[in-house]
Amino acid sequence: MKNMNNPRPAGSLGSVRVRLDWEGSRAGSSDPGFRRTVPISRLAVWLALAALTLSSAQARQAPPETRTSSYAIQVELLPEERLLEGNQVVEWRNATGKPAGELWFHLYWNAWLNNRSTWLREDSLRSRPRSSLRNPGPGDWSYSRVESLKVEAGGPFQESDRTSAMVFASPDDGNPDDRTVLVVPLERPVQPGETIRVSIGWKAKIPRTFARTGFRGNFFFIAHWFPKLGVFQADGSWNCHQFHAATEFFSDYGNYDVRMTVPTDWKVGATGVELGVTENAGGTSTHRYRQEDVHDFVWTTSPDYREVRRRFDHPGLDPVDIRLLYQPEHQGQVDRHFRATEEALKYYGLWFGEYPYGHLTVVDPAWRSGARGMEYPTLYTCGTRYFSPFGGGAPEGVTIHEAGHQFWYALVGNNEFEHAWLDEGINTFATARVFEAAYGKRAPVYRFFRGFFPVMIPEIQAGRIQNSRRHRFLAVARGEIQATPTYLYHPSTAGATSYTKTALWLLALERRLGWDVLKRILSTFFENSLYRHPGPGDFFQVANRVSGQDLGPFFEQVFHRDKVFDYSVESVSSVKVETRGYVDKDGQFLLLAEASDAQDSEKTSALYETTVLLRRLGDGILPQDVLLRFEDGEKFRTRWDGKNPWKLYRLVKPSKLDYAAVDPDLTNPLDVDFTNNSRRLEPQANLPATKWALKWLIWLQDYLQTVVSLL
Amino acid sequence: MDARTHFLAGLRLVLRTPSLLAWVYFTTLVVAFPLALAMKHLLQGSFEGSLVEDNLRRGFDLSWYEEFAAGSSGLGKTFGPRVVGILPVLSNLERLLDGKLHQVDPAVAGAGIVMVLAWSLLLGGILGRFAHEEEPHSRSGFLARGGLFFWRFLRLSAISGLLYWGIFRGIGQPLHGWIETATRDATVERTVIIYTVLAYALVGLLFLATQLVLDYARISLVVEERRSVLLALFRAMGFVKDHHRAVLGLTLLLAAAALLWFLAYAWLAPGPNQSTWTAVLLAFSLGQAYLLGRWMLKLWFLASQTRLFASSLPQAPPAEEWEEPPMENNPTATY
Repeated sequence: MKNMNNPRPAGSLGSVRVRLDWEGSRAGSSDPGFRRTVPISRLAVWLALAALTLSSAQARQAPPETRTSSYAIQVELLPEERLLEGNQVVEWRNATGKPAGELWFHLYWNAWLNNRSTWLREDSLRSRPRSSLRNPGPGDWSYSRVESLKVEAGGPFQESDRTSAMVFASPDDGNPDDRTVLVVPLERPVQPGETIRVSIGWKAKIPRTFARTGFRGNFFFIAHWFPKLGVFQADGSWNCHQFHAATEFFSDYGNYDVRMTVPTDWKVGATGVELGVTENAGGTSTHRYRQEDVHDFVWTTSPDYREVRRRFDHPGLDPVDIRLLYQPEHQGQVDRHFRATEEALKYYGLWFGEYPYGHLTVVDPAWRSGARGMEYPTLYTCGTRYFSPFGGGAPEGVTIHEAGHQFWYALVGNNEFEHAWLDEGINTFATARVFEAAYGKRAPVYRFFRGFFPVMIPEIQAGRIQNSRRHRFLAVARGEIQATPTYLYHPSTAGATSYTKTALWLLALERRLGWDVLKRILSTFFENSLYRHPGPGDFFQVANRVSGQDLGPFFEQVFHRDKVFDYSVESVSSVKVETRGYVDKDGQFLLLAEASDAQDSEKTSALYETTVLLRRLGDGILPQDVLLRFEDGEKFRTRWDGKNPWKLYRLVKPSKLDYAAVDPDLTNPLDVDFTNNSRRLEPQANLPATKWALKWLIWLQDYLQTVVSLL
Repeated sequence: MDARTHFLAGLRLVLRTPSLLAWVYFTTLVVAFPLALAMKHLLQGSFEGSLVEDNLRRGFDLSWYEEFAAGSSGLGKTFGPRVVGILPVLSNLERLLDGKLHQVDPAVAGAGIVMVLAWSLLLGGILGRFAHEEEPHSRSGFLARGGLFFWRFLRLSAISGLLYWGIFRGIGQPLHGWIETATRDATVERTVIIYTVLAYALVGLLFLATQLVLDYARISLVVEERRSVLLALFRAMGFVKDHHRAVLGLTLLLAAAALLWFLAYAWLAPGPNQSTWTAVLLAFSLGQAYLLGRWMLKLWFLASQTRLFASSLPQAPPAEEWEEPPMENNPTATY
């Protein structure tokens, strides 16, 4: 990230049009703040601040050194124009040992500036592009324009306007048309330990929802919306990637104090706690929210939201005030949203560590807003349908998953540009585990008539492996090396590689090490990584240390290589032992020349020689349990190191083999073919094959009759 | 003309001609069965010998299915949990209303074409039987009449294909596209559901109305022994217009019967958990009972409509003896 490719002027940047009467932050204070007090009840503000302070005090404190980037933002939403106009003061502390001569900012909304951006180019590579710009309307594009940028006077810094010095950079792909990274050269570098304050005036056009941000009708979900600093690294470079179709975010922790002006009577949900609301002239109100020790700030507003608040209480865990903003048509699903959130808070809290913020906003986004299923600090979106049968996994699954991201990503702030698997994979694994603990198995739901009408098949059950989305992994089992930085994944396979593969190999670890060990690995990693930016090595180190095993070879195969696991039972046989030749029997020396002689001799003690041939069909190697079950019920269990391409077992037993199975307990969910893991001596496929073919026949007959119904 | 009278007369007619039901049912079965055998072979080959057999015997195995689906192509792609219970019926209804009946595996589409040809061959005999119930009938006469009208029905099928294309692709698809555009800023799913249901209802009504006219055109072809498909079509339109109350009443009664049958099967349709041969055959039989009932409804439609149409004629169609025409004049001789 040291090199800027194609730095270029950031365009003609006019003067800032300050619509709001915010005057910036207090010089010299540790946090960005506000000089002007909002004209609402001072008592209310102080009470709210006191409550927040008390809440924070009770929670697990973030180490002060993790507060690196803090923001005070004032923004006005112009709903008709789909515009945001904002000012912000960014306070950044150089926590490294290297000077920083530049500041690098993300301007995420420029990903949808035009169809030449890196995001849209990459999105078009998907088999099914998620971009809603396939048929763009004139109001659907977006932009993020920095109109002024000044270094504020303070400490060693003189006030200086850096607006004309700004350039765009494309560090990842050199795309000259991408404007999602803005570089600001400084007149004076920020030396280690120094803090710089920068005030920025900006304007942003809100997109039709992309990557969970934007508008639909009068629903606004405003995410990754303001000029946001990258992460300055210990090697003296900025980690500030372009916005990619397959990646999410990475930021430092800090404090946010944000005032949002929206039409009066529109409900607002945001990261943090609301400190107060001011009514302005012109039918708008300003909502002030504040949150410490988070790495992002998101907000949403709509006149249609309805609101319910409840408190999560569980013995041994801190209470959490949950606020649900839901769509009126989902009134009947309010309890389901709360229950799923509470189950997540409970199990994640008990398994990994407590949720420290004390409050949580759950957003049920508008229909097809594209904002469903996304996590931000202290706020997440879930997503449901008008018809959503209980037992089918929605909205429970997505709610648990996004609530889980409060732990894996909001609190453990890994770099999603480079190692998205760390939060997405761990969280997908945990989601499936929580879902099963809370609800049991899930029944598949099939949707008809443009997806509006669901039919659930309760007799079919989806368990942990299915809920980890194994079917996606099967398509990409060989194709993406997980250690590759996430932003370099192919957009079509990134999800399966980050989410599914990790969830499956964590399930493999759980089944091999035991849940207690894996839980300790995850909780230790969680504890060590709170409010920090752990990398893959941190996880592997903890896993080795806590398990007391060298898991390196395992991670080498699943993470650093694209090894495919496929063990099979190639063949089985059980043949009656028939001795031929000379034998000593009953004091006589006999020649058993014919089969009948042998049978006569051995009929009271028939033995069967069972032969089982196992194969390793993939290049992935893991020790395998092997189970041989005999017709008399006897079980022979052994372990194969799985290294050689094949392994032959030959046993003589008084009974024929019933079946042989390799990895009978499915301890390796990464095996791409469970079906060939077992083999019967006497296949019994006729009944099930007939049964399912007959069901299919009914479908086909019905299809033919439907064709005839046209005639 | 009382719709209820013809509704009941149609039912009596169908019940008195079980052989027709047997013809159409077994024709479908014969067309479908080879593919079902191929599917059985595919399925059996995918799990034979594996312990997955047990899971698939007791119920379904999603892990196996994920692997099967990942490695399948062609006919194998048409298999999935959507063959359970009422889902196959809904799948086909959805295909019909979305105008996507042709978007299937080529083998299945081929079976569909064979079925269209077979139906076109049988329909003449069926309608002739309904129109001339009192006459003596024979299998050869049935087939001869089918042969006689085969090409006319095929020509009419070509016209109906164009009409249905117009309805499903020319109206249905743009309508749903319009809904997509019109509700681009809708934040309430219920609103879009209502629009979608209305769109399906409109397409369904257009389909039923067209089908109604085409049914009477086919009946006109047979009852009035017309050669011109176009004239039969105009005749049918005129008939529907002149007797709209009776036509509508009869259609509503028949549609209600069809809906009841569908709901009954939706309630009773067996799930995936049959683990013995007896249970498997019972479940299959229930499915076949539904399909038989569906055929019966189709014949009931045709019989009632034929009776209604025949009763509208100035005089009943002449009770001519249907005899095997001399070979040299018999246009069906090639069949």
